[in-house]
Amino acid sequence: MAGSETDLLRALHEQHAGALWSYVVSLTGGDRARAEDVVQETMLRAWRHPAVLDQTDGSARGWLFTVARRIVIDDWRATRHQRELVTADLPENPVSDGTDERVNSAVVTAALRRLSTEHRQVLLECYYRGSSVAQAAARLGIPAGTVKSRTHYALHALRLALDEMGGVG
Amino acid sequence: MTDEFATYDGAYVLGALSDDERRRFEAHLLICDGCAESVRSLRGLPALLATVSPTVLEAEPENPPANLLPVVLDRVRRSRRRRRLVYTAIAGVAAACLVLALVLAWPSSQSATSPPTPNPGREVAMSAPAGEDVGVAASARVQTVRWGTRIDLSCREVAGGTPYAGKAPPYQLVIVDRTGGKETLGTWNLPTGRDITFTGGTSLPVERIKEVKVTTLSGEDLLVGWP
Repeated sequence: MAGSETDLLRALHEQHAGALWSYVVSLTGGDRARAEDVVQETMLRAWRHPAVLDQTDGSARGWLFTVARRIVIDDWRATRHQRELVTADLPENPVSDGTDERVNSAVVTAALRRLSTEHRQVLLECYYRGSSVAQAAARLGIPAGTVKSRTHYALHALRLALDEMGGVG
Repeated sequence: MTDEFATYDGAYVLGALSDDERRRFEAHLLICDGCAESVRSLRGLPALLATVSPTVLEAEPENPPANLLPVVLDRVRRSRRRRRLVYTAIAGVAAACLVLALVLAWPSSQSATSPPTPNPGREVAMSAPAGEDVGVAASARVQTVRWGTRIDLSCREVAGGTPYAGKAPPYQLVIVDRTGGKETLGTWNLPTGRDITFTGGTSLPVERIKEVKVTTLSGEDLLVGWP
């Protein structure tokens, strides 16, 4: 029993630790020590919920991301609360505390890091550098048709990765 | 039949097609449901890409620290050991309580009136009416308090059972009094894979509560217990 639990944790680590790590590093703004604590805590919570460990397919990933996100957000709110206690008056309804934006950006970052180098390359060219298919083909030294098919597969893979992580809010 | 436009969707939503290709693809979208659907599924992505810096794509993805798994496994081992100690301690305390209860029960069972049950209340086992698989399990702690009766319900999915067995949450906590009157003490949701504790209360004294029930919102009984 104990042995199989350990195996399940190993499998969970194997399948999801990479994505979870990118996500949490991004959520913590690059604070790797904090990210390590959060990822450890998330995996421990998974161990306490055997139903999650049993999900060897992608569905465990959404759960892990949700738990990690909650740990980090609770942390932000706790620190902000401490800060706000010292300031005199609070706004009635804080309009946006930037939490959603940070979370979305972290999800997208983690999803992009799951893509292959080739896929990341064409997105960098065609989106961030604003290249046309022809320009990207020239810069990367590949046929234009390949640029098209790579952007096609890259974006569909990104869509899938985002869905697996529980989507963006 | 291969669709020469099948891979145009990505470059199209990124705005990377030449004017000529874009026009031809847009004409094709009017007659091809597959490509139109595909474009729709990708349409939101450029706005999401805008939320991250291009450096994310330039750098090679970073692996999690090598000691992550060993540390987690070590914490699991320690936590398991701690849990075992707690169980042993609980078993010890339970045994002591049993002895004490027997000692106390002996004279009081002979006296005509027993004193009113003080705190900390008692556990009530909850079971499905026909022993069927309803996908959830619960136990209730029923406690006499100054204002009536407090009920703490722990509820969870049954591991390995049919999830919710078609009777999805939210659920409600209902009590039935000795005269058959019903009172709903509240509703709750049961997130997948998690335990919840739901606390409800009533002004009825515990002696007048006949049944404690977990039901669906439509009032179908899932679990029943008798305090």
